[in-house]
Amino acid sequence: MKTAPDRLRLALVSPRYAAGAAGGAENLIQQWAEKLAERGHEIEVLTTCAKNHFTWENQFPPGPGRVGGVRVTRFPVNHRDTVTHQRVQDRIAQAKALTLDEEEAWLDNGVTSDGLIHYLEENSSRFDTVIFAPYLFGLTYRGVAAVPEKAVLVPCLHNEPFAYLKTTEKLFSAARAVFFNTPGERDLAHSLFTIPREKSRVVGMGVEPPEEINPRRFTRKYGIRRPFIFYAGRREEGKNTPLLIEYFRLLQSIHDPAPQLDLVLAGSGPITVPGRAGRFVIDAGFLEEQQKWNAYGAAWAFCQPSINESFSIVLLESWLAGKPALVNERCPVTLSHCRLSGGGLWFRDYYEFEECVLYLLENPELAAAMGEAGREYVRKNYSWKAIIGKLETNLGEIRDRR
Amino acid sequence: MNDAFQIETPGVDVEKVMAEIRRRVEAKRARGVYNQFSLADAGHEHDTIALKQGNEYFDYYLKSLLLAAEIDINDFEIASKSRFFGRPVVGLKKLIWKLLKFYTFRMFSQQRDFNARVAVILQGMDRRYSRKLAQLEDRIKSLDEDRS
Repeated sequence: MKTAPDRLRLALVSPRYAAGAAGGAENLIQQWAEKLAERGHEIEVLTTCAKNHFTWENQFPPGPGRVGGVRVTRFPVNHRDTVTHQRVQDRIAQAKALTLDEEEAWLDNGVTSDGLIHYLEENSSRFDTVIFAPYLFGLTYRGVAAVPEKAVLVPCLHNEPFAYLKTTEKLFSAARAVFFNTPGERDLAHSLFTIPREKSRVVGMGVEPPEEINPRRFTRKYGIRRPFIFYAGRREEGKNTPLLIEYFRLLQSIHDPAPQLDLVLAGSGPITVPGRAGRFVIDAGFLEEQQKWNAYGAAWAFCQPSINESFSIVLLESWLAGKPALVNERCPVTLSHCRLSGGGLWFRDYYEFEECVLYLLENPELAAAMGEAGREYVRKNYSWKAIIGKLETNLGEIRDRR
Repeated sequence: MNDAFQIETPGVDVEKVMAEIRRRVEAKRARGVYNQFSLADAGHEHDTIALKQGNEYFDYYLKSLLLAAEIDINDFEIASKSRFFGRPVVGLKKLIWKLLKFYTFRMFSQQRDFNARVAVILQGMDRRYSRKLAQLEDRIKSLDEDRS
């Protein structure tokens, strides 16, 4: 156990914790909590009793417990008026103007917990810093407002309609510090809000490969004989997977000769493959962790078509396997990863997608060098050693400057 | 606070590669390579936020619209999901399609005409209001200068 002043006393607030099928922000909070606890810091996770992120039903018992060596205290989710929530959300999606009260009603009818906020107010003296993630939950909005002087916001910000709300700007302004996952996410936030430079920092999450990657195990299992472009993640419109399938179909059907490539999609959610495209689009389904790494290793390149990424862990994982990447130019985060690392190219329409693929096929040495540059970028900036070092330094400074 | 983000990774100038890729796309476009295909969906990405982000995307969408206005009635695959009668079903569908062409062609040509007009009007409106906006900005600037 560390001794003061090295020892940090931290609360981490997340809408769900260790509830299975975690989203990016929940995963990040759990990883931070466990790694910081291992380093001897005093950690308490404050979360809700919810398990299902669609219903937000209170399924876990309230009160304190331990998960993975970390103290976790759960509180019931407030009653939610889902009709009001959905009505306002539809208006947000249509970019209609809302009053601050309407926006706050939308957040309050999303996910929040009066019990948790009350606990924070009562016990704030026990914590040096309180970390909140992600940004678009009432729990985060109300929590930061309850302890602004100690609040560190980990927004996991996307360029989406919710980012343009007045409440989002208010949240960013109220927090004492904001920790971003990537330089791209930080730049997006600075383009949307006025945030003093000294209160924003890039931290992120550690990404490390397994001890062994066995590409042949993956290709044998799925009978893959040609090089392939790989995608891993949720397969849905929001992640632009239908667009990737359509681009790939066009590439195979109109380019003469058709590139000797397949497209392999892994992850949750159904995929629809039109007509004859089924011959070169392979549905690998949900892959367990080792199999996913084997797939990265077997891939010719990785493609992340989504424009809603605040970190894109799969892109960083594919770089650790030494593969070049293709990303959507309209995602500031993945674009910035590619620009900073030299590990990927970007496209804004089909024509550029086609040309990127052809260029990499014509220049295999360049493709290999890009994969290597990506690997180096992740090793330098997103190893757990680097991340925990940044976290401890920044959190220590926030505490000491108060 | 400590940011310490290291960006010095070894060697690939991806900006240069992208410039080369864009040059190749433009060259292909100039040679009319893409005109051989109707790529109406190729630039079709549902993201209204991008439209709000500035002229760069607006210009791009306008270009995509102009390209997509020239729809091609034959740009789809006639297929069948039937496991055993796939070929005859496809043949029958193709025959029906040919027989109906006399009627569908009328709608198709009117739709093409409408699309082309919409695209041209939008482009004209953009030019007209851009010019007007520039004039107003100049006027505001000169008024500000006069006042100070």
